Amino acid sequence: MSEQSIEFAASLLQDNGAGTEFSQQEWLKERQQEARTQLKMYPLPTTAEEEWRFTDLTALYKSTLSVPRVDVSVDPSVINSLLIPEAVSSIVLVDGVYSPDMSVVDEGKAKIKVSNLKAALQDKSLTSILKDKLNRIPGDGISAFGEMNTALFKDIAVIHVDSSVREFETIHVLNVSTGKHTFSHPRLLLIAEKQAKVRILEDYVGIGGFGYMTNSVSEISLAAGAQVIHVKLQRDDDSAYHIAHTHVGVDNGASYRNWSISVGAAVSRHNLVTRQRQEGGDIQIKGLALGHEKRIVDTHSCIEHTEPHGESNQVHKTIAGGRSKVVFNGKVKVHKNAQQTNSSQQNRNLLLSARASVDAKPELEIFADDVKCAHGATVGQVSEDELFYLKTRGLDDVMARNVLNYAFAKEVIDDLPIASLSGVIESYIKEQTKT
Amino acid sequence: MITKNAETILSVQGLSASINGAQILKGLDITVKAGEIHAIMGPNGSGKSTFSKVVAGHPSYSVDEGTIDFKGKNLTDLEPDERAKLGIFLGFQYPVEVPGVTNGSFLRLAYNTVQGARGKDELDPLEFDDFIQSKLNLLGMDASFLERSLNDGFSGGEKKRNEILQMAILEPTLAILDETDSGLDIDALRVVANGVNTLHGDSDAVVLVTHYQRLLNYIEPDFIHVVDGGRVIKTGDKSLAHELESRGYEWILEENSSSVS
Repeated sequence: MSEQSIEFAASLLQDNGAGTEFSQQEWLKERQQEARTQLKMYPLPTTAEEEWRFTDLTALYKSTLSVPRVDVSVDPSVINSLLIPEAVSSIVLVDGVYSPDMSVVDEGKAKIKVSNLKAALQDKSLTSILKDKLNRIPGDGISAFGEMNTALFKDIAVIHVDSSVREFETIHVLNVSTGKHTFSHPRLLLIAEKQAKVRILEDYVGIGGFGYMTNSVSEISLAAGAQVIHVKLQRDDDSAYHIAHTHVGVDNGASYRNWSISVGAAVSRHNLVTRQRQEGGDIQIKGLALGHEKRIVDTHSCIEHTEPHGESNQVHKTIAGGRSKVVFNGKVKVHKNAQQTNSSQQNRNLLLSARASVDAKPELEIFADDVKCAHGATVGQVSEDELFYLKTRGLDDVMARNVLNYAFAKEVIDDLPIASLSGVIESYIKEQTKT
Repeated sequence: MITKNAETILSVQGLSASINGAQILKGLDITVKAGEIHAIMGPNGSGKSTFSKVVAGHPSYSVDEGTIDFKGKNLTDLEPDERAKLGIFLGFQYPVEVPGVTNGSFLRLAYNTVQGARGKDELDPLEFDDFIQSKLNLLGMDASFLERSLNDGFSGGEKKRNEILQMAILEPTLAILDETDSGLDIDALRVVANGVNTLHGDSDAVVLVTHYQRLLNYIEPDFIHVVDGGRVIKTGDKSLAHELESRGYEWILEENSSSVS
């Protein structure tokens, strides 16, 4: 098993080769090298590891993936159909590489600076931010896939939100995969300076690609008083592997709000690691993962409070239909120093089929003695009382179940901060929760 | 209103029903005709709520004996939604909260489903908005009700109004209102009662299931049935309610047990 994972990693590392166009940046080269070294010490995970025991990647490791072609042509109308009207800037990464043709960056109107890696390296202040933050936002749960991304990313969507940005602007980072049995390592770095505000949609979708692997890392840093609204929408192709890391650091009085929606891929894994690293940060997370047909959808969340007066609130809902497998591991870690933490976590799982499965695991590690931490996890079926109620209003069994399944999921997106997305997600929910 | 030769809407004969092996209804009889309002009263645990659920087709209850006929049609093998389409409405004592389902879209779905089954025209969202406005006015409800999730976070009074709103749009032939007065303050009770009185006509019937006489001051019943031990032990006119109010249930229960023995 682990040999397969080592060979798989080696083939990816080899294919990508050394000497990207950024290799003259010594620090960057070192950082990518560092990750390669890490990968040698900690190979890609198998189910023998506790953190991965529910998600079997053997099929991925057995597959042969290649570097996506760079000359692939993308139909602009397809990209346009995916863009959202709220976005002032849309950064489009095709197979992990910034596409200047497809991206829409309005330098005049937009207050928020968005760049790709190449442009960022030509800007002194951005370069120093990159040096400071890239792969340096600490937290539990950085797995070998994260290291692999660091070793192999070809580009980075860099979003720098200056302290002067006090109104929310929406940025869309659209990651499209075009390849057949290819891999890509999309990377995102979002820096919100003191008191800055930003709303971001991080979006993954397959356009013509299949059997591909997306292995993303997103790093988000909030300085004191910053407010970040972050929607991650995973709507990859049903044949794809989607492995994602989100690392978030929250400073004094900053507020991070996240919606993580997983409605695609054959196998997906999201490591969502958020850390309140100064006094009084606020972390709000809403998750929705739909297990459809034979999909495996795995969310590993870790909320860490390292300093006093932190707040966190997480609601994660899943629906497991067909022969799907749904995993939620929700860790909340309160460090010794993090007194007066107020944290709540709620995980609700709805089973639609006898052949589907749910593994739900709340994990509380509390080392401070003056904290309020509530958590709950439920796995259940549609309630008979709710069904009866709807049936007495004329809805037959199938209609009533569809209404209730849909409602269960939709609650997560009722307050979605990007209005035009609601309809998109609603149609995924409708399609994937049908009885 | 009692009318001669009115059509029989509901005929329940010798109904026995149980839940998880426990028998709750033990030979209950009741006949309801068009234009009438009936009240079913009785102490806690007497089986009144069970009666309403069994008539609506709750799957947890099994009908062991007896018949339930609705306009001459045997209901026992019909699903709750089929009963609703025929014209039976159950107003819940505890309306279920369904977060994520918008009240307005749910009402339209229910309306159109029932209309379709009755061979009538369905309404598109704009037409439905017009249609429902008058019903909202009747119940003193603001249109913002339609934007909220079904019963989610509604106060007790709002839930009960929402039940009557559903009754208003589904236009049932038989409305069974289970403890509709519970949890209502006096103003809300007036509004709800006024709604029921306005909706009730010559061709339909209402059955009020209630513990207290209070509701009957606002909705005047033609018949009062006292249920105990899963069957009707006394039937009278509205004066019976006043007697119950002043004397409680004890005397009927005693009278009944002595007459049995």
